[in-house]
Amino acid sequence: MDPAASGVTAAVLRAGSVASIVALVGGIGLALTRPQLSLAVVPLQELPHQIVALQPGAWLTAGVAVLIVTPALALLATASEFAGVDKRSVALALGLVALLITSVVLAAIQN
Amino acid sequence: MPTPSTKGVDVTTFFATVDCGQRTGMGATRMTEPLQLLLAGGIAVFAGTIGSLVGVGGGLIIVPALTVFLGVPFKIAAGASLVGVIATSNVAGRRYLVRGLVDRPLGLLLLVATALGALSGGYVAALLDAQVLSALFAVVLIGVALHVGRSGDPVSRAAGPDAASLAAPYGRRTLAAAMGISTIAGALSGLLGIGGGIINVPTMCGLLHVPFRIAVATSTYMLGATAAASSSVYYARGQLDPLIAAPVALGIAIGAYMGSRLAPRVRVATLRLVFAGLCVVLAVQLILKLI
Repeated sequence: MDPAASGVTAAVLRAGSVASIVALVGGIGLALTRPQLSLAVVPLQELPHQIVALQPGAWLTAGVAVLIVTPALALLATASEFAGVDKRSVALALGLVALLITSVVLAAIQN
Repeated sequence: MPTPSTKGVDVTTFFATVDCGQRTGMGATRMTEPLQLLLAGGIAVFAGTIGSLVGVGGGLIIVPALTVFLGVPFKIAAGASLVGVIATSNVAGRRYLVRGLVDRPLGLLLLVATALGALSGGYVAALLDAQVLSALFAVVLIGVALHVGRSGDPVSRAAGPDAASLAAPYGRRTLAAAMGISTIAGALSGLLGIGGGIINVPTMCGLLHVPFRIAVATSTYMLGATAAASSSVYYARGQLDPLIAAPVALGIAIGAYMGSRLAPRVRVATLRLVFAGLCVVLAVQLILKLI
């Protein structure tokens, strides 16, 4: 069925899922237990500082960002798994990653 | 920072409408109270559970429910639903992958079509009025209600034997047709915030003769990248509010897990009728909001 199932992609998906769930649960927990803190959406460049400051909006933003990035990282892992086994799948996986990155860049430029 | 306003919960009506507050500078709507986080999460758990039991994605319920019952703007609800689709795909797709049920070479091929469709849908969604999208969603809900309400599982009806091995080889013409249909599935995903599995699975089963379990596994695996393609567009445009997306993502994942545990104990035929009825109710609510 899958000629290159070495577990790398599964590991990436697991890591991304765990990291996002931790951030999302943490953010919701902070929002519920410390409602005086800001729930404002946090720009990405301010994210690290706001996360350290335990701002719930920052934790939630980080969790969502990790969720969105995880499929792209999984595609990179897939490309590595299929390297030397199926060139077409490698090309497709890398092409899809390029497509995802291009879409983000184009959308950001248009805004 | 201006103080957001919140409509109080109207206890005299069955469904409360809660104003989700003022728009931020990024154009996203900010939830104003922890109660709204919990309500959104509760809706997502319900949607994930019933979607998992019936075999369709939670987005079909989440988007209209958030719009109708919590007053979330349609595009914000769609963006949040896409994040929920990614969460489900990451978790469930990984489990299918480990079990060797995902046909990744085929999935990658179809993913090109769905991702392009999703990107197009995401861009078009930004240009269309929310009322147009709501009307389109109502039409899709009616279509899903008709499919799901019919006897038998519409998704697996087109399937062959439930084998764990790769299907018989398919021709180029059928593959091209499948990719065309996958593009439409991706476009609907980007436009409306749904996963697209309800189109992908019958396509793989009916056109490409992929065994049902493998089609479901492959589709689930594909949905993450499909939704990521359009959700990045929503995020860049300020239409992806983490404060709504977060409880939705967690709720759908929890609901999907609960649904998988409940499945052996539930009469699916009855549940399909209930789901179909729910789709009709939500479609009517969406249409009433437009009038």
